[in-house]
Amino acid sequence: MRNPTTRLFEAVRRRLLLLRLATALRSATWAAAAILAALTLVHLFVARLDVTTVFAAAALPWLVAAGWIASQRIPPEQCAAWADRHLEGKSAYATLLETVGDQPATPASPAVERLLLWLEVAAPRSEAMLQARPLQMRLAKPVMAMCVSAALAAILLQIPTQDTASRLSTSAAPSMSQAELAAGVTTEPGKPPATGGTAATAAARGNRGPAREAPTGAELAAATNAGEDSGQKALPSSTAPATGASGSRAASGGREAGDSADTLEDTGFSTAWQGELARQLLTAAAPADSAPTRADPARAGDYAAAPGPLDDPSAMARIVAAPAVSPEARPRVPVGPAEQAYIRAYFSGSGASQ
Amino acid sequence: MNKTEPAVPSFPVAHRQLNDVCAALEGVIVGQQEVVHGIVTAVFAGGHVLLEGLPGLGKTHLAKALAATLGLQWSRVQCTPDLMPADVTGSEIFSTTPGGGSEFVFRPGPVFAQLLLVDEINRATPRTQAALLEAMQEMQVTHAGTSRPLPQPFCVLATQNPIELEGTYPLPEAQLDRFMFKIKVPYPARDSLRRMLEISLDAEPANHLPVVLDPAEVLRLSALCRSVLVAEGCKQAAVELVLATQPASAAAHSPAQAHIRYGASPRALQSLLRSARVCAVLAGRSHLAVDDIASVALRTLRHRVLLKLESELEGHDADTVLQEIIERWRREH
Repeated sequence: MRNPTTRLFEAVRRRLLLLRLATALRSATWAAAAILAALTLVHLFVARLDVTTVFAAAALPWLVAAGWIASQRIPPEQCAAWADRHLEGKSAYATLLETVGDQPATPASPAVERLLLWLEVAAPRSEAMLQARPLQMRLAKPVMAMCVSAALAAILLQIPTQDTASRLSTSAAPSMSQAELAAGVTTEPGKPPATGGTAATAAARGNRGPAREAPTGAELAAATNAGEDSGQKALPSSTAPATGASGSRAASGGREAGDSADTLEDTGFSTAWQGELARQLLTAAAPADSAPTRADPARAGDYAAAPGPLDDPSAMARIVAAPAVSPEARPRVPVGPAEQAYIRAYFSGSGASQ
Repeated sequence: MNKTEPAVPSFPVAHRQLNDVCAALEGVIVGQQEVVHGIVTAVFAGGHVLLEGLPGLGKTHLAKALAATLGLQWSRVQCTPDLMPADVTGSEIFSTTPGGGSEFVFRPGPVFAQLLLVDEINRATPRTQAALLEAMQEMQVTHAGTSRPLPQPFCVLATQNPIELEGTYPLPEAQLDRFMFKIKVPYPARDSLRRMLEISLDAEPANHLPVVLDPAEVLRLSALCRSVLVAEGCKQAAVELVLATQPASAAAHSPAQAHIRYGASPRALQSLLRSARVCAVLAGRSHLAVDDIASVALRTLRHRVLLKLESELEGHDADTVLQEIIERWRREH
């Protein structure tokens, strides 16, 4: 093989390597963008993912591309075929390799001699064409796509997902309706629902206004015990009228009158919160000195002189105000005739007008 | 190499001589460069040519000019329905010997020539057409059990008229396949017609053509063309082209599957490469390029594919289907 052809083959080999590098970069960039987008969607809708994990996965195509490029070997036959096709070689370079090979040319026939002469003229021309041929990397679009994907991933991966939000909601402050429910817990057992409900509502409103009715210490203790138990059934039965519920759904085995959207479990009230809130209320209501909390048979009790559980204004200040967490939106539950009859009877019994 | 044999010309010399032949023919066959190149290619590739064109386009004139340029002995057969095979191949006649005896003596027919012009071949009966089969393929004529070789080089130029098909016998596929090329002779362009008037209005230019080559040089040039280097990629490309025309092949292109009933034969593949080698020499190269195959593909394949009847009724012809196939094939190679 003579020098012009050898030089041309080397130049073609370099060009082919660059073209393959560009192809590998394009593929890796597109793949990284796709992985980033897919994992961001997974993070948002399926499961929480770590930023490091996502970006490590996006780096995987680059590793594969780098390995692929490192493994590339371009034989002279490929260089010859490419030069024949793109540099007007007219199959001369492939023919040369097949007839002469890499050995120094020894013209064995007039045809080979003529071929070598032809290549002496054609190879520099092909080399000039190769120099004039622009190298198109075409990386703009994939790089742009990957940048957009990376930016979106970096932003969206900071957003807590659904399960994260639900975990947070168990430890977050209650909403106003939860406060109302907590106040409903303090309703005195045996009271009619109307007074209980009114008291609960008033207690809840007490957070917002002065017309607040303080629960007794015994009621708070009962609520604390109920809140420490996990599950809906741990609630005292007296709370049911206060919240408008007529009984647990598990006990009744189906939807009954009053089992509407405003039941305890429908409000999303956390039982853990019942205990916590009650404990806070109990702590706040406890007198600074050791006031008698049990009847002393030895002396006549004068409980009227003792301060009420929430008569101390500073006690209310010690209650930690909690941020409101709205209950989950639920589809509207249609009220059946039985529920309507119950509600009507409830309001007529309580003397309230609808 | 025997010292008495003249040396095989070098490729540059062959390139120049072939172009001289083409230039001489183009001087008298005005405006038909494609036709002239096709015929010269076929002659030096050892093939036969079927010329198709309307009357008056200079087909006979071209044959005479080619014979004159190459110094070939030529003969002509005007085909008619009553033409007998013996009228083409020759016959034995009863003759007396100088010694007073008598014997049957073979009198060669017009087929015993280096260039045979078979005019309006589709007017001859299939039996007479079949008489040409052996001559075209085997380069010999067998008569009364005796085979007689034809002179070399041997080339058949047959013409046929695409109109006036009444009383004609279309060539069977087997005979069509023996023609290396089917060349369509088009109408000359305006400038060519004007120039043709200047050179042939009152003269027969073919009678005054110089002899560029002699038959021996034609044979040597043919041998040189056979030594053209063919790369493996070119062979593979030719195979792919032939397979692309075969609808039953896995490599068939979609136009072939849609319109072609029977594709090109293995003989078409041989003809492709043989003629492409001459094209390479005409281009001054000693190696084959895929471009050479592409340049002869249409005229090599157009009479070797048979379209479906419904495609013909829809107005498709072999040329349009093949051009589409060749374009696709060219993009792949």
